[in-house]
Amino acid sequence: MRNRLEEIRKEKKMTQEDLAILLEVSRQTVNSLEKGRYNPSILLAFKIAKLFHLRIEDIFIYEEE
Amino acid sequence: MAQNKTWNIILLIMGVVCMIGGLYAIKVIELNRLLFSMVAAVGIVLLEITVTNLTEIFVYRKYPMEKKKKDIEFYDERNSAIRQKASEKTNQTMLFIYSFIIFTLLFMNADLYILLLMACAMGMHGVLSIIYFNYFEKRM
Repeated sequence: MRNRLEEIRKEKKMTQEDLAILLEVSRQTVNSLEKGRYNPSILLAFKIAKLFHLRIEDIFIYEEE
Repeated sequence: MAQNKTWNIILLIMGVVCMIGGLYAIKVIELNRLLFSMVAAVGIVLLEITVTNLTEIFVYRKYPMEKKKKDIEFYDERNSAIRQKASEKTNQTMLFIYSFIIFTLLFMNADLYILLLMACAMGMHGVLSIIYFNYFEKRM
């Protein structure tokens, strides 16, 4: 699964630390999400989408292998 | 938090009493050495745990952001997933180590009851896995 989290975060001029605080996760989790090493739970995905006023599918792009 | 603090202070006092009482009984009165060594050991463990807990309570009261940071680190979903994976790997490794120990003891001609005890521990491992699987299967 790809995601546009880094791009959206930078558009909003936020640091990984800021985003981590708002999402109540660790900064390492934000980093892993952005690098695509970790796929978020549905709850975290909703939280991220709600924070940026976007839909989940605008941020996370499902790709069939 | 206040109740937690009270309990920790009570346990701290108990720990100090056990430690000093146990050491006093061994060194001065020369009572049952094994029993009072255990009492002193329990006291030291209680002391260590309660001092840690009380320090945390006082530090977090003074710096509430630190507590929030620690909670975030602990409940972070990626960290939880990492912990689960680490536990799973540890589990598999420990089963391998148990088997290795049993075979080593077998070649060392160890007593049968020791081998059976180890085999029972391994068996319990399997039984507990099934019990917990069924328990969580009904809840997820």
